[in-house]
Amino acid sequence: MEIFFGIIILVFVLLYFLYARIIRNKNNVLEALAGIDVQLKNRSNLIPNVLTIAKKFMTHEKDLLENVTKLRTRESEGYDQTDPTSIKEHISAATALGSELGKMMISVEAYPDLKSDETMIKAQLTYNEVEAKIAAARRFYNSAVAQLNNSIEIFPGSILARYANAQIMPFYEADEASKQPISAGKFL
Amino acid sequence: MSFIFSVVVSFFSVLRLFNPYLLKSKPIGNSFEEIEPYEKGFENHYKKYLRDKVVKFEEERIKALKMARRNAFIALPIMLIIPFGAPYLFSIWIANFGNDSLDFLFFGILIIYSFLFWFVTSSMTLYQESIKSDIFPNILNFFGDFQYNHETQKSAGSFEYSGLIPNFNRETSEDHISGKYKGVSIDLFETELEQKRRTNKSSYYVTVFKGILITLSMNKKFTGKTVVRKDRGVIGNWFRKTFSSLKNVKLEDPNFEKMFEIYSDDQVEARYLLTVTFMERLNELAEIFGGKTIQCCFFKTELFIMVPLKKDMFEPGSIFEPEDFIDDSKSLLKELNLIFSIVDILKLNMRTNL
Repeated sequence: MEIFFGIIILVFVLLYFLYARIIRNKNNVLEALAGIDVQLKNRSNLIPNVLTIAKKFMTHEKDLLENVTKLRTRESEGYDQTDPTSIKEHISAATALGSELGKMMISVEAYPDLKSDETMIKAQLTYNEVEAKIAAARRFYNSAVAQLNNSIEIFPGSILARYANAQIMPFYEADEASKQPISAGKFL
Repeated sequence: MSFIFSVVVSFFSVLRLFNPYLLKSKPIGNSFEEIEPYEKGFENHYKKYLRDKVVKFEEERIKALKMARRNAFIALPIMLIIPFGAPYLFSIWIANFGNDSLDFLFFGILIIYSFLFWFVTSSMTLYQESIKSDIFPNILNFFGDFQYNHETQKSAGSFEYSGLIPNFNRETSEDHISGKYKGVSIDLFETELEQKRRTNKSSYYVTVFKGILITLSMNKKFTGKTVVRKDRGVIGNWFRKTFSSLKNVKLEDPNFEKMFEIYSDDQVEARYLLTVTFMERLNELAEIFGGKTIQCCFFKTELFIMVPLKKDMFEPGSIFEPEDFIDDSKSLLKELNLIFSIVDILKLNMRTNL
């Protein structure tokens, strides 16, 4: 009888530790997501300044500049941090904006006056720094998501996840453009 | 073990003083041959700053050896008599003071030997120190505005914030070098940290760290503290995780994870600093320094690096060889190039992220 109770207690203790781990992992994901938002906000704050300078020179890139403005607005919209679908949409907006900004920064090369503009040089340096920080935040987020998803996909985590109100979270993947192999010919 | 080894080496260096050809000054080539890429341009530097000093220092070297030999003639008979007279000395001591106080006798004998050894080697030590204080700065100025001081006021204690410095009770620091390389301020010194251990009867010191401590100025300010430390296995790492205020950072590189453990109070900044390329570079650096694990800490505007080393760095060549400063220059250039490789490999001079 004592052994039976011992086993029961042991099972409960183990389940509690697994439950606590899921909660910890869930909170880590939220922390990582907040980290991403801080960096995305920094990038978002940089965009108006870049656009103001760019508009003076990049008269032929009107569509691109308008697209950046639209995507910035879409990315800045609020989202539900506990809903994977909402997070996925937010990430997708951020990725799309990153991709367009990348295109814009490459286009700058075609405008020597803009490229040599002191404010633009500073803006590009800050942009590179912010992008590097977004990449770092993305690595932290993906690592936290991998831990959470592993803990709730493996039994008995899959059952405990319901009680912990934890769901499978989407990864923050790099945009398709940056996954493509680089063709040197384009730049020559 | 290393103490016994150094005693044996020292004893043989005293014996070398009796070599009859030792005090004859040999003809010196006086030309520096540039072999390694980092030696490029040193031939002219050697002609300009060092060659004129060779004759004077060669005379000083012979003078130091002569004095050491003269003192060895006085000291060696005493050193040899002590072991032969020891049984007689012990019996008198035991008869008067008993067995319990034998430690004092051993201690006394050790002091006599230490004094005699100092008496023989002091002139050689002074000569070698003069090489460090007068010649090393002239070699180092090849790299621009670099300063060398044989002694240092710096202490390993000032880096305790990093959490990398092991507990120590005794510190021996020397060879302080500071300057700028490719716009990065470098400040380093050599140190040996020892911990006091006790047994029932006595106490002794154990070396807990021997190597160089390097501070590199960075071109950015860090918001948090990130520490890259040696992996200490499952139990060691568990203790670190439990009792540290910093959180463990899991990185993607499995090879890096095998060698290092990362702790930081800013998970995003830790990943911003420790990019995949940076991790590869740190592994490369560890191999350059003989496979020993390098530990580092990013804090405020500095990168602090601990490099463990088996042998002393920044030491002059043998006093038993004719002086021309070529060996000193070659070894110092090689060692400095190794330090500079930290800046080059880690690309600390770049203004963008690492």
